[in-house]
Amino acid sequence: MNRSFRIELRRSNALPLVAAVLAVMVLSDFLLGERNSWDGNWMKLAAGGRSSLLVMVVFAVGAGAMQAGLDYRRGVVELFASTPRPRRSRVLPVALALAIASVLAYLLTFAIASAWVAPYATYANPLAIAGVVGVGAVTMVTAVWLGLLAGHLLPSRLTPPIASVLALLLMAVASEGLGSLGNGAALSLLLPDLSPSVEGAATVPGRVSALQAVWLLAVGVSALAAFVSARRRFRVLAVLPAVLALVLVAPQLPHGQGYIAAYTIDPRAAELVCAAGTPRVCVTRVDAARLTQVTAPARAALTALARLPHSPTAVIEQPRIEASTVKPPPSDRGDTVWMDLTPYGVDRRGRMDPEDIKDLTVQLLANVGVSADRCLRTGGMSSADFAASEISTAWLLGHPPTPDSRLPAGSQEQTRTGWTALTSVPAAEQRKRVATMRKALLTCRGDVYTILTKGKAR
Amino acid sequence: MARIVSSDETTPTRYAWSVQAEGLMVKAGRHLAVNGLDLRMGVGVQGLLGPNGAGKTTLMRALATIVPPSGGDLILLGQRMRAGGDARTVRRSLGYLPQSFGYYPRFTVREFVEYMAWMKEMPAREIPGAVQRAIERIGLADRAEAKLKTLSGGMLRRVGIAQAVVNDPQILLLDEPTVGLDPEQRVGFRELLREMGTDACVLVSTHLVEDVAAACTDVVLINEGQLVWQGSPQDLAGAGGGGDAGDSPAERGYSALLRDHRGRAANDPQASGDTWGTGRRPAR
Repeated sequence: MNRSFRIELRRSNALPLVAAVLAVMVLSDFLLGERNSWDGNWMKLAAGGRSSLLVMVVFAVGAGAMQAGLDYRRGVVELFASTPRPRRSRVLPVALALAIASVLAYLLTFAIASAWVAPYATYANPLAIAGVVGVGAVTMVTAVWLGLLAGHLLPSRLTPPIASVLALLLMAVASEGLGSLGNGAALSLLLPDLSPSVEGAATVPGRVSALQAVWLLAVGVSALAAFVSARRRFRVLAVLPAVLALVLVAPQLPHGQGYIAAYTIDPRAAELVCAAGTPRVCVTRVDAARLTQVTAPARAALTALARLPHSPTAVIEQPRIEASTVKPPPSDRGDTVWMDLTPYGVDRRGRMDPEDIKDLTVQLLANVGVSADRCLRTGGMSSADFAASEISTAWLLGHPPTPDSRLPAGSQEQTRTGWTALTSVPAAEQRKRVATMRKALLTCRGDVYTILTKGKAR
Repeated sequence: MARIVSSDETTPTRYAWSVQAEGLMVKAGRHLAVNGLDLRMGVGVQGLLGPNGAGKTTLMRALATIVPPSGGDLILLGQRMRAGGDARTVRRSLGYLPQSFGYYPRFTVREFVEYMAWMKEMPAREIPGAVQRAIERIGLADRAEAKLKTLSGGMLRRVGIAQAVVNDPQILLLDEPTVGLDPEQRVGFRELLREMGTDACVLVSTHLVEDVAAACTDVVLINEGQLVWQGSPQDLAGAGGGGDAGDSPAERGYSALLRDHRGRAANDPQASGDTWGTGRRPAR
């Protein structure tokens, strides 16, 4: 068996598969483009690997389909058909070799990419990370075996490219489509896609990964069984593992919006790490590498807010899965400015961009230090709301608002006229108006632009 | 020391013919390419002759257990072949060189023959010796480690023959084996055929009547899926007259037998095949 396995390995395209996946992943978006979005966070890296399956699966399916069609292209089907050796003992070694190669390709990509994360990662939950990576590896095996089946059932030169494109479409389109089906939110987790664009403390529980792995492996086993069996009767029976897994696993997957449903907050990752001294500045354990860098700009924001009565006394990073999915804790009475570090990446040495550090103070002062999520206004802020935020920030910092091209055109005009209106009243009145605006935002009542420019809510 | 004797060696042969077909029908696609063929073949070298489209390749594929019979009886080495039946035992004793012979270009000669020996389920410890013997027999010992993609067409054909004979088959089926061989190689190949024919049933399908006359102990002539004639090369040569087409006695005999059969079939469609049966008498 060993000798035949070696010969079969030479007959297979296992090694080219590993090389192709590695080459593409190294050159592609994954390593060159995405490496700055991992933020020294193992879970983000693991999830990034899952989202890049979109590309890797194309290669795995193509390699499988090419391998299965090889006997036809080489014209040895006729010759092999006259030999006694059963199909399974000939094709199983190939299927196994390709499975090992695809897992190797996936794990090697992860290993290479981890050089960007390992040096300054401050937290790891090995079990959850192993689960997320494991599901990715299982997906590669399933993809390769599905490719083998496709190439075997349709022995044509066109099968590998067509099967690859179909795999790409399935991964790209179906995960969205499945998620949008009425009660089908759980169905989107039947595909392995995960996005790394979640906040630091988000994690995929081991149970979710286990369910996904069982389901995806069952699909792979079905494909393999159908590929290996020489008789049509067994080929039909081969769908059983996949059907069984679908019936058992699908109802148990968490419900929610698409792949986000897979995530929960990891309580250990979300534990706060605080800077020495006062006022209090804290970040979650996963983002601890950024604490020393954010402390100064965070305290600058608190100093600016201190011009107001009942000003907040702490800046704390709020553990969330995704912006706009979670409200601030009900216990919040306005004594804390909630910080969102998601937009601020770090380089491979764990350093934030100096521009980002400067920008952080301004960001914390937006809406007078009240989170836009507090009243779930993120999507519903009007141009006047944006203008009010610009004006109040400028007032707190003590200089006129700088034109911001990112704002809608109407907001810029409103900012200019609003600033003139606010600064034309006495300083005590100005302070009162900004304080009233903050109160309105905390209670989710009142028109903030009117408050700033006319001194009262309509 | 005592030697373990396999059951194959002690089981007496329980069949009179290596290949026995009665009213055999085999489809090539939807077309019935072998249509009511009666044939018996034993040990020896038999040449399979017939015009293009006579059903030679389809018959070879049926004997190689690739296509099951769609009618009639086919008994190989005493075992009846059926659709969905298990041909595994028979296949272990088969050697087959298909008309279009595929291969893996990156394999060496030795690797390819070795792989085929494994496919034929030879005992692992016998494989290296058998592979070396087969490669020597076809005269490629000095190229054993060469990659197949570096070989000429004639050499590839010889590799095809080597894989066919590696398991010392009891039924050896060679479809157009001499294509691409130069005259010297053809002479060597005929020697190999005679050697194989001493204890196996060898069937060589060919267009070259001369090959048959030189190397075969028996000639099988088929047309339109039916047996036209079966006899010795000498009888084949004797069947033709001066007026028949051909450059040699064997070729003239071939033309005469075929012309005679066509005339007979045109006059009496019912007389096809069965009358000529498996008797070894010439058609006239």
